[in-house]
Amino acid sequence: MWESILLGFSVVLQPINLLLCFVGVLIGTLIGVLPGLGPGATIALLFPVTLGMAPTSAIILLAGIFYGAQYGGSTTSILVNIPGEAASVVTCLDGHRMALQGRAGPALGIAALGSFVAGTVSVVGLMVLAVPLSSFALRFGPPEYFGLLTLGMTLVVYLAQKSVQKALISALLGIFISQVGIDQISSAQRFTFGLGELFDGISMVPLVMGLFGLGEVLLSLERGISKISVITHVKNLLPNLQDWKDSTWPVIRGSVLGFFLGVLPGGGPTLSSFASYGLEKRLSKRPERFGNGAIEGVAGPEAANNSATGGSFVPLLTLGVPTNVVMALLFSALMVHGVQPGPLLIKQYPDVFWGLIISMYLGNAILLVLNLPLITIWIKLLKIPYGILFPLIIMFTLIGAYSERGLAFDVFVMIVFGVVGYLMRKCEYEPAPLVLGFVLGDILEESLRRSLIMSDGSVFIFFERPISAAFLIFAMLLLISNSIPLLKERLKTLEKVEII
Amino acid sequence: MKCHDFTTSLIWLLIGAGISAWSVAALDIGTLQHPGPGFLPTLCGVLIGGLALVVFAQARRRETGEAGGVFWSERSLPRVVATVLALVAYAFLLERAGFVLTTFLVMLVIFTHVARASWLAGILESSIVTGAFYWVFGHLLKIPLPRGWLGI
Repeated sequence: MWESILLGFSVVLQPINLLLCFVGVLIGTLIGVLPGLGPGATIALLFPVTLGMAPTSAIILLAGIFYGAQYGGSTTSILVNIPGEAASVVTCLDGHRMALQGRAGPALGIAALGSFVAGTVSVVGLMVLAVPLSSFALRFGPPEYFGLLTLGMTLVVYLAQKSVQKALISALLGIFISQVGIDQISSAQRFTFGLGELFDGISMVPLVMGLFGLGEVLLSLERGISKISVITHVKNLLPNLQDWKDSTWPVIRGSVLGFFLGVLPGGGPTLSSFASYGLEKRLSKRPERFGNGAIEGVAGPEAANNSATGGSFVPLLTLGVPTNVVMALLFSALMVHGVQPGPLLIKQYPDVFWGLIISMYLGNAILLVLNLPLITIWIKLLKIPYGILFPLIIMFTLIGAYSERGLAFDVFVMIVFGVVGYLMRKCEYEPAPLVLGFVLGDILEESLRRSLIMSDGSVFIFFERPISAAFLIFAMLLLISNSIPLLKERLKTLEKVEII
Repeated sequence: MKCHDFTTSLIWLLIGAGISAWSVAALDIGTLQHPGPGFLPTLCGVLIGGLALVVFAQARRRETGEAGGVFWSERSLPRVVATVLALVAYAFLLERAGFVLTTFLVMLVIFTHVARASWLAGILESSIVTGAFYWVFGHLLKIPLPRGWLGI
């Protein structure tokens, strides 16, 4: 283990990697602070820039953006009451209330310090869990992968904020879109209209840029460009003794909970922050303080969302399964560089694995040093009017879509998915399951078809093997548990009709 | 579960049916022993259609299917349409007119017609955005940007 850690340090301390780690967390914080451009769209944008880099350098830069965004997001939540990105939604509740009470400093301070502790916990968790899990994953064949991917998709759908049925439709559409291009098993062309640009399938970058970047902008334009008010008086960033007393356990609990929820397929920073807030409120002796400026309501969720970033890497690096949109982009980034994420990654590319882990640790330290002193700059950034900000976001999506393959066709694809994302949001269909379905679609199809060929057409193969059976049974239980309230409601309606 | 679920679920039903029909007509579905390239797309289409029916039934039961209000308001729609049309023009012109000219023109339209800036401010803002993006992406990050008629 120590040899591996030393290897990680030797990789990260190379000047170029250190610089990229710094640049990554800086960009991450920046886009975390600015509402409207999340880590997914930013990673998609910078994806082409990393093509000329070594795989370790590329992943260090892109990962830095991901966890940097979690730090930045809290600043906007606290000072403006608008989440900089999805995982900071819950921080608005108590963070902004604290800012209104003149305690923006301690709120920002505990968010940064809690995030640092959580980041450290998640890096340690990743180190401890990844190696045994990747050995275990070596036993996985096509049926096990099919079971795992189905469970992952089910979890995403189960955790959908609006409607499970709508999330399922979204995921299935994503799987269908992943089928466009030449079939890897039979070499048949599928849904390409004979267009050469579609032979390799639809590119992920324009799809993500459209759904998350342009789709969000179009919706904001429809709702109207409003002026936001920023709290600019920030003093005493270091929390006082009472704040520390109140926050220590929430940070520890948030770190552990966030990490494990990050590991779960379908989990991630957003889910973790909500779960931590709920847990702290339930454990608190004075739950009525929550929503009125309780520092635990900032400390716990901020620790949890940061810790979840480390947890998210576990399934990606050990099983080769991306569990959220950002991991899906990092999966593609590794694949482009010829590094196959999965059980063999730690053995075949120890420099990538350990370099990434140590870079995350150093990145967390850089963020702590960077975030608190630069608060005044972030406040200035927040004052940029949306009328100037949204054309910039549009430009980022246009250039991001074009630059990956140098094709105007991809700009059209981005616009199409921008409109799709806008319409989906309007009708309360979440775009995240679509992206996950799109990313996992290829592996899901291959594992399904290979499993059926192996079993000569028997679907029982998925239940004869214990690991895949466990995954699938768990997935079924989730779906059944979700259907129970609907069935109860239906029964009640029927009873009423009978009485009448 | 309210916002225009009647209409959207019917659209999804059509999409699901379309996907299945297209997959069956154009691709080999194969058998359970040897699933073909059309196997999963057909399954996706069927499932999307089935779920659309569930959403439709739920909306009908709650009788709130169209309770989402006006889908497009006259006030907001022009801005969205103008932006999408400007972007389609961008994609069409990019490789013909080049990055600099296309970006400047489309940004000018967006700043003046969508963000409602004055012409003078629009020209200034578009010039700055075009120059900054050209410098960062074309010059610093060395991403090959299309040159077009002006040669830049």
